Amino acid sequence: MPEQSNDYRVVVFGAGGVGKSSLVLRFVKGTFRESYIPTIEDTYRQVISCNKNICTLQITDTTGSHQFPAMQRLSISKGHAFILVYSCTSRQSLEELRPIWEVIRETKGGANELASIPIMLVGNKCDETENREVSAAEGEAEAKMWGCHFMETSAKTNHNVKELFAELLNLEKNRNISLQLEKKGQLKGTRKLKEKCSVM
Amino acid sequence: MRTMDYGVSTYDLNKGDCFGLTIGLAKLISMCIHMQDVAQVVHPYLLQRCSKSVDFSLKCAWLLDAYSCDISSPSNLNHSLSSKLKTRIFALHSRSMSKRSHSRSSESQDCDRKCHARSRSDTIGIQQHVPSTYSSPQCSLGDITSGHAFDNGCFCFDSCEGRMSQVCGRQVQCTCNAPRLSPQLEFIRVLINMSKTLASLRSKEAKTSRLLADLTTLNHNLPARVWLPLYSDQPHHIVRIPPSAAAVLNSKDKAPYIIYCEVVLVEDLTNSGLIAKASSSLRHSRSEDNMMYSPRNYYNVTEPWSKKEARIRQSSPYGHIPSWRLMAAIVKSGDDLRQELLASQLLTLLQKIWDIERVPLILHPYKILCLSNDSGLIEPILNTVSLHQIKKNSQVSLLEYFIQEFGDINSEGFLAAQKNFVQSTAAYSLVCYLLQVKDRHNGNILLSGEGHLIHIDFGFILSLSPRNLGFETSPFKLTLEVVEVFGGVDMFCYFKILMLQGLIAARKHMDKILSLVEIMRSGSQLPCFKSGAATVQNLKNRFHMNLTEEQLQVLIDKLVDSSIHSLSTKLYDGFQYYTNGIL
Repeated sequence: MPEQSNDYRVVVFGAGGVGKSSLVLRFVKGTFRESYIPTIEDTYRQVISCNKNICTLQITDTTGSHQFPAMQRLSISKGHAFILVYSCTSRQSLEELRPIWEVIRETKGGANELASIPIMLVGNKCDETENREVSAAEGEAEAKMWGCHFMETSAKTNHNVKELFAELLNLEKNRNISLQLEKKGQLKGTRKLKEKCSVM
Repeated sequence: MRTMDYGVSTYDLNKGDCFGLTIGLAKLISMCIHMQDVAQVVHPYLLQRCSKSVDFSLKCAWLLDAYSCDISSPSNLNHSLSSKLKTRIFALHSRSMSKRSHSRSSESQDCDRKCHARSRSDTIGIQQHVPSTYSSPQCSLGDITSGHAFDNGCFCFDSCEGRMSQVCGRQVQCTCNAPRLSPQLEFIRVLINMSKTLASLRSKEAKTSRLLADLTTLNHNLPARVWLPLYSDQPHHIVRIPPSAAAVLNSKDKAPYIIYCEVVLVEDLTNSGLIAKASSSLRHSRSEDNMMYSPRNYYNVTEPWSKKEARIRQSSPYGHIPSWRLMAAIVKSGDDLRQELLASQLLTLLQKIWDIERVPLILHPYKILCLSNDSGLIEPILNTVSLHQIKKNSQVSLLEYFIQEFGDINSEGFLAAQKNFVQSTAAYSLVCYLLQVKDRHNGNILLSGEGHLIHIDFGFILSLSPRNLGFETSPFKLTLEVVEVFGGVDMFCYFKILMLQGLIAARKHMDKILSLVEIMRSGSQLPCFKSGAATVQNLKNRFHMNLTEEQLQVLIDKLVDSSIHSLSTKLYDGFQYYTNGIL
């Protein structure tokens, strides 16, 4: 069981090339790149507010192109919320999510506990209408079957990206988490000071 | 080359790039000593920094001592430059104080005239009665039997005015002319001399009891305005060094020892008052008696730091002070730590590079302070146990040890530790290959409480290997036992991917690494540079600039393969077992 720590950990899963890193990078840095660089594992941190305190949102971008079962188990067992990404242009990528979903279900225990964990099924690349293989309705139906929430996004056109993360955090009922942060200016100030360390 | 370095240094000083931290004082000092043109730029900067901090001044002075010993003839121009710098640093601290006190009082008088603050004029009234020249007839600096070995005779904090200000929460400025640097200099000198005395004793028992006795005597002189320079980022004064917690470390002919210092955090090293000496009250003496630990049991490496801290705090007469902390340091003499310092700088730099390039490799550089060319302080890595100790004490394989310590193979604890282990092993494998770190027996490899693998002892790097046996021919040490902890093909694959990414990232920032080594090499007699300029060239070759990323992958596969199947690693472990008893 993940302890109630000062971190809120979100893990992003999905097959290779569906746009996990693109989604995360669009959200964290606001950027998008056309080229494909396979991820091994990357973690991004962002300060958010949680129960009126600041806490760290930790987004783990996992690999889709390698098989690291041990690391997958670890990130599932440590994760507080999950984003399962497939590409609207590939039915195969939706099917590949099923085994991951199974592992999450096994690791996180019974149906009751599972229901309290924020999980979002995400159909990315929804801008590519010509190559679409999975309709929004199909995605929605799949999510219903799994008992999780659903959203279609496009990292490329920045469609629903921020909404995805906001909605995911909204689903967390054990704490009051939001992306909004008061005193943002102050925090930035202290950080800048720290970076100005000199020779020692 | 020189003009380039020159450019780098002015740039660093004025702007401080993202690698500013790793440039390090040692690099600056080394450039100062060996490159005259750089010296002219750097001296004013150093002096300016020195004028603001006693700690910085002392560090400069020690490094100047350590690095200028390589210059052969004392008549050398550079040598005279560096000794001149040292004299100026010391002069700074006797002159600036009196100057500052004058300017301060005139300033406050000005202010007083303007705002007619009553309390201000009162203070100044008192100040005029305080003798401005420092005189201490019974000055016993450096004599630890006196009980005032680290007392420079400064009265500023004990005077009426000083006490008043402290009560009111105002900062007291030392205005007398007491030598500000002396207490700390004497303290460090005493620590080093203790190590030298210990080295002359033969048996471990004799060393241990001597250390105990010396520290007990030393304690009579504490609290004092002295500190561990390793941790000067947290300004503190040492109040006590519990003698029974200290220990002599295993070493053949030298006697490094570890001390645990009880400290109290202060706002400012020089301008904060001292904690009053705790009289040995009934409560205190009783708790001392209650300690049934023999010195041997007391030094238990596997004891978690938090537990040790709590235990020592409980038995300490100063433990009730809120800002009480425990800090540890290894004191070593007889060894040139400049090579360790170089390794520490390189490790810090590599970690920075990997952080910037987002490669999850984990190193654990530890702080080194060179006090001269044959003594220094080392930061001990807390909560670790060496692979040698694991093997000796638990007699199980590393994988079984992991299961014992962190839980079942599929538990979160084990998986987290395993991931840390893979990431740190990959990092140190790359370091061992790039820097050609040798003498990799299991006594020099530690395991942290979170599963990180940590290498220590960088006495043999670059072009140097122990006794020049040329024994360890494999690129790095990777035993089957270590691979067994990886658990399977997938983590082994992850290990290799990490190494590849780490090498690509390091290659991208190769210039920074090479220039650091080049600067530290210039004019240096360190044994790791005995191949001369070829050392740097060989290092450069190990980055394989001419290979594509695909070719690099093949190279990594080859390196890993030959390391696993290396007979020489096994032979070297056997050799260590027969000669030093290290498993």
